[in-house]
Amino acid sequence: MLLITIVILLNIRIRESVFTGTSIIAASVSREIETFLQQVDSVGHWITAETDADTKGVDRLQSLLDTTVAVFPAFESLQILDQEGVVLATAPFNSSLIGSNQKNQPFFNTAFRERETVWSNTFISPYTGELTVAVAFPMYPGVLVGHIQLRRLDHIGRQTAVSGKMELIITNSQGNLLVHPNPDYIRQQKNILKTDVVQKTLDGEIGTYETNFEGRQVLSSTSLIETTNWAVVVLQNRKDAFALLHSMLLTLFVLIILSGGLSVVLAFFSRRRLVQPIFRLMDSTRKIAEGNYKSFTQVGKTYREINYLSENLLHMASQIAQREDELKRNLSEKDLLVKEVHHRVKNNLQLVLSILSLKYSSLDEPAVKNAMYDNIGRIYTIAQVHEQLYSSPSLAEIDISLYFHSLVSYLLSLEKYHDYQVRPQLDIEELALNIDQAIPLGIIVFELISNSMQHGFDTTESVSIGLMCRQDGSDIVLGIRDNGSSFDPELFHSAETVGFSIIHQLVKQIDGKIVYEYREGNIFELKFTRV
Amino acid sequence: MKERCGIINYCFKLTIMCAVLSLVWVIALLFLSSCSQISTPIKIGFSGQLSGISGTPSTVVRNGVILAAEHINAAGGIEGRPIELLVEDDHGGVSRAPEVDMRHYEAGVEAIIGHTISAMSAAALDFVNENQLLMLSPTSSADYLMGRDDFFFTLYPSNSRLSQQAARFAYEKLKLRRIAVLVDFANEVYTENYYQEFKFAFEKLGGEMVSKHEYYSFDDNDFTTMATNLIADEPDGLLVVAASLDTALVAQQMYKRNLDIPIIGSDWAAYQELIEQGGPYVEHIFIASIYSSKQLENPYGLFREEYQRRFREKPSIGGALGYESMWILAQALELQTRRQVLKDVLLGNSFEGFEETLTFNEYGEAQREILMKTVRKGEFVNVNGQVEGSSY
Repeated sequence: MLLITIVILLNIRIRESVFTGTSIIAASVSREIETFLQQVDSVGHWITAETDADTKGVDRLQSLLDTTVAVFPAFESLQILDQEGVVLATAPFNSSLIGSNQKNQPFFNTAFRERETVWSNTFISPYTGELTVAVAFPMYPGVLVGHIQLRRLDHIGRQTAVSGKMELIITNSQGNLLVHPNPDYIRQQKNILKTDVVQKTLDGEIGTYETNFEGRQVLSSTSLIETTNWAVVVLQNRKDAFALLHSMLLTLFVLIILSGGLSVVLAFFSRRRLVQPIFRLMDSTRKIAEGNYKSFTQVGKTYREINYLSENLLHMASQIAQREDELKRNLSEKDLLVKEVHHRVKNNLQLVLSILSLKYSSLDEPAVKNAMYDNIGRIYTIAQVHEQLYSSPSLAEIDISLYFHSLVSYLLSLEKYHDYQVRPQLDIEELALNIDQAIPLGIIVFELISNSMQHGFDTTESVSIGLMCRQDGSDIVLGIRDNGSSFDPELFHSAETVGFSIIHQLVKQIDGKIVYEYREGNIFELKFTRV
Repeated sequence: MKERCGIINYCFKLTIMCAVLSLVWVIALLFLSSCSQISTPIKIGFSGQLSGISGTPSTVVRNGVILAAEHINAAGGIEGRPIELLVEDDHGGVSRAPEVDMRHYEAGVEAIIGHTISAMSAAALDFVNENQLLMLSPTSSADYLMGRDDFFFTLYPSNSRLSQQAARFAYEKLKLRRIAVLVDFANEVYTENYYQEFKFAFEKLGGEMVSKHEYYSFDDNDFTTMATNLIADEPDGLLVVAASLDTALVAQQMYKRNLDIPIIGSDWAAYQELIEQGGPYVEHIFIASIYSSKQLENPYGLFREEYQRRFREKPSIGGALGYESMWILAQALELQTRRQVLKDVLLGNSFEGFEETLTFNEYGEAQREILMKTVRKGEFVNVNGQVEGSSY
């Protein structure tokens, strides 16, 4: 679009400049000829004034004409005609003309009758064979006739800066050539009235325009010499006139073609050396983003900057990979350590359990024995968490389902319940819970199931215990149900027993809420937010 | 991928666009070149003296030929083919005449209209006959050119017919008995022939040619002396066989001497130049010529109107003859069959002229009516009947 705009603007400007140039030449040629004709007119009027003022006779007239022709060579000849058209005096002197009658010359009649200066049509002089124009000035007693050779017009044309590539053409009012590059045409009085440009000019349509002249496309600038009604036409072949414009347009066209070709070549090389390497680089960054630091794609042959970028990216990827390896190694070491800690805690708790179990065997008092028994269960519950932690992939969380199943199995395996029939119903979702919530929750489950089994067997030998745990949004809901007899809810809320007291403290620790109700059995429901 | 496709697509589109533009350019060129193939023009040559002192009358003939060609082309040409007119100037030189015709021949013209002066036509005769190139002269009338079965044709009556009629007019109507003659030997073929035929007819009627004066128009001539010599033997009439300007200058000398001697001019002088340069004495000049009417309803009258509009000057007889030559040649070319030569077409057919249907005799001379003319009020007029009751 920019190129097209430049082309259009150039076209307009250069055309304007060419048009102006040729119109100036046509106008100046016209002005020069007008000036020449005005000089002729002035001299003619001066002669008529002289003869009007002094009519001393033919000798005086002859002398005046001789002097004028000598001083003003534009006049080929001068004649004074009387009122009948008879030649009274002529310069240069020609005895055969003196006394001849010129009344049939059209210019004589007009000048004599109309009393105004008349310019004749051009003609080939019968005396010189040269192109000539006659001018007739009314005077006393008849008419002054001057013959002017028009070879001078060509000289004026050449003087007026008509360059070699321009043609100056002047025609008379009939369209006969007066000035033309081919002098034969002038001698032959070639008529070009039929040409559009001359016809228009003689009809008064002057200007600068492109037209067809004798089969050629030309730029023509026209002007009219009003004194004689001659057409001045400056012609320039369109090709020459707009040579500069055409060469500029050609250059622009070549530039467009070259830039197009260059674009294709650049696109080809860019694809190989720029676009493809960039996409390989993009592929590599995508792999890095996905954590794949090893399978790095080589960018191939490309520019230095892209190579530099690629090398830096490769270096960055290797650095990240190295640091990740270090972190993994450190983490692995830490995990091992934590597992070892959990293992040792579990072993220590196992040792405590063994000691307490030995002590339990030596006890006789049932109340003490029960208390001991409960504490053994509580420690087991804690140990079980640590066991699960060191054997699970995660060192922070345990699977609550696995843990509760293990816990219930432990409780059912206890010696004191061997003679009872217990029907556990477990509905536990697979949920991961961290150690801070898993241990209190395990102890709460232990306490509540122990309580259900302990008091349930007081009334029946077939105890049904249900354990439910599920996730409700961000909360964990734990439900324990048995078919035992009811007890006073105040007993549960007052936490007067050790078991209930532990439960309330632990519920508070995990920021939960526990409710008790009796509905064909004891029902406990605990709800807390999962951390 | 999107960016890469964009660049490649852009380059691809650019390449396609260049290819399409090239294709459009080639198609446009082919279309324009096919449009420019117009019918081949028919080339017609014109040869005549267009420059020099005596060149003006021939330029009028040429203008008539040009006008006819323009009219024919405007009407669709000859069987759709336009006429291309090639103009050559023989400069009134006998050696130049065959040269310019050679140029026409080499350019491939179908025929030549010319020459305008009998001497030039005579000089070109051998060339056109050797090359079987038809030449139709609008104005040549020398008997030397007639009486030959050749490729030269003329629209003008022969000198013998013209001069015999002029002689009869001089003897019977003007009652002349003693005539002095001035002959321009620059066109001897025509002028001497005209003089001899006039003399033969005039003397046969009982008149006497009292003196004969010869000159060459291209010399620096003194017409005062010439006039003095002409009237030295006290003739009652003059025969001037010269071009219009020289005839006019003789008339001026007669005017200066305040004589009242009628002048018989040749048809070579029947141009506007005679009227403009001859002064009042041109009304004493009588010429055997052609064309009778200038009425607008007459084709000749219409032609005069057209000529004046086109060239902004009066045509004179030369312009009419030039027009008629081209018009008849175009008719002949229309009639010409593939196996016919143009000469046979001209000989075997009649053609529409301005005032009459024209035929050519076996020697190529147009058969047409001859009229006597003089000048009245700045115009050539038919004098048949007008001189009745005049002083002549």
